[in-house]
Amino acid sequence: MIEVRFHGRGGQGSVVASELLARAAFEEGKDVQAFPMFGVERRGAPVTAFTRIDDKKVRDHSKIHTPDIVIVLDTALMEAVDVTEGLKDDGQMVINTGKEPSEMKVNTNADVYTVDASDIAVQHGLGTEVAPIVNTAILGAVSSATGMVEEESLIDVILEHAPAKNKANAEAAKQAYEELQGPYPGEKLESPERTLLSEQTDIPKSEDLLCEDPEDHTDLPRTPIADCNSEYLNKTGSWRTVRPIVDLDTCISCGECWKYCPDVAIFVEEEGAVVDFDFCKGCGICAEICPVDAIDMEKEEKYV
Amino acid sequence: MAKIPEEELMNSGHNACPGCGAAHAMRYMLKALGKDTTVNIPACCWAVIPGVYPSKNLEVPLLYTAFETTGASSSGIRAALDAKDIDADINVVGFAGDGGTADIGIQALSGAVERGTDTIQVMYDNEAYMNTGIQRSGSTPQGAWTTTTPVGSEKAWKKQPKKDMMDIMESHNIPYAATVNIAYPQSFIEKFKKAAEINGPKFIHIYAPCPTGWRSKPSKTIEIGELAFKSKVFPLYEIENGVYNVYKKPKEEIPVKDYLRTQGRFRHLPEEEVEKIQKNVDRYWDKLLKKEKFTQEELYKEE
Repeated sequence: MIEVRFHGRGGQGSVVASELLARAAFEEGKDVQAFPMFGVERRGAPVTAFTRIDDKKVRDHSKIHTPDIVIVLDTALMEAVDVTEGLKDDGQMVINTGKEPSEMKVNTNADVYTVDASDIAVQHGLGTEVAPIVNTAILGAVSSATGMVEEESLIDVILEHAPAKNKANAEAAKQAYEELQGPYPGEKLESPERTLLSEQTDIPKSEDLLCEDPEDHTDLPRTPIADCNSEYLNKTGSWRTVRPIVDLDTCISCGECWKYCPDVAIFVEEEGAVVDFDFCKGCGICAEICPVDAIDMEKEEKYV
Repeated sequence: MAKIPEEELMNSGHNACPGCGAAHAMRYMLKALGKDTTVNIPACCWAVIPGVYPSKNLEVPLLYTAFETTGASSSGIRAALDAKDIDADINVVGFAGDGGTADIGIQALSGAVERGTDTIQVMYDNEAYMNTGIQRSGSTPQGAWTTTTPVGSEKAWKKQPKKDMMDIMESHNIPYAATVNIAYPQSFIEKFKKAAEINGPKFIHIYAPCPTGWRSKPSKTIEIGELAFKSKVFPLYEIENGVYNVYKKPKEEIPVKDYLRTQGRFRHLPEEEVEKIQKNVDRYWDKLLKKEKFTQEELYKEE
């Protein structure tokens, strides 16, 4: 049995990718499963999707904990999510990036492959540079890296079942099949260099979450169950694909960006506008609204 | 930064999509109303945005209620505050989407307003059922694509005009009703402060763009709000005891098509349909100005 885990974002097409991969294997006579996992998260939030493929009937219906193959659609996610979690030592990992596999420094013993699926997608008119739709291109690379489905059956399935632009999607998959780089043998680190965003703050213990006597400001009864500030638990900075960069020499500290930020993630300090990257989702309203054009939106990947 | 209160009662770390207009709506509303506010929310995007247990991004008490019961819950909270002799200066807010106000929640809302309950009923209008995946609502504008008014080989975009909640509320003889737009936070906050001062039921209709459902760029949320105002698609007016006041009139007017082209949900519209929408918008605006003149100068002249 081969178990695959996709890491993407809401709206990026990882769920469709898991289904297309399963369909391609099904056409080759395999038994398959494809299923996503997400909570209430929105567009841009990290999501995972899974595919199971076997020669015999797949009877396991649980979540995949020890995948053979991990596919990363967006490297910016690797700051927020442990993409190597449970990945088998003899497994494979395919990452969408412009970098060489040897540059990736992922914490795994599995073989690492890379492909610039974003660039390929944009070349074929799939999405934009800021939000490329890379799911079909990455599947071409996965077919090439792992051989778990034949290129032909993958292309046939994309032509028949891709939700839109079937031809362009098939061409992108073909190009990615050719442009795959790797394998590069990964090496597990003794102690990982970086802590994940979600692990950076101390999450308060449950007894701290109980409501306190609200003597401080009002007679109103507090919300009865819990009153834990979302800032402890939900670091939405991981949703970002582009980030605002403030040119402090141009900034006039007018506060327009603060006024219009839907995430309360930009503030005017003495030196000018300062972004709170723990929470900024990269919507770009601040860059749009800035009266002196002091804010530029840059690709998140450059800062990972 | 003048006039926008600095206190933040809506925190970061919430689950709204990037560029969400409904997030602006809550942020400005709480800035206007302050800490002595209690909010009740039915099924809508804001049922999800505050976070899952034990997380919450609001610094005020929050009650989740069923889809159709926002008006009833607001009435209940007010009755409980009265019964417990708790300070009457507390703002009881029912914060519902357009589905929870104009469609599913309309009978409870109508009841609460008719009974004269001292609450602020808010409709943050993203013009479809966005939380469940962009299904049409009574508040979806004419011409819009949604997943239940699809546009493919069959041209089934929404053919009916938007339900006019302000007129429905006016017909309840409501003491105060106003429309506000998240692109204009100053007047937004002013109108909420004014509503908080008035005793009895208040209704506020918030224009809140939804990048996900409107197929627009998240960065354009504020610009779309400005265009909705300048093209008169969403007029800013208030009704105080039956008297209309169009409190903000655009200095430069733009054609409706400049507004429509910012959103993918209108992309399919042929020229003649755009003209029809333009005609309806112009007609509504004229009617509004006449209502303003009539109610201000004739109907209530002696008062």
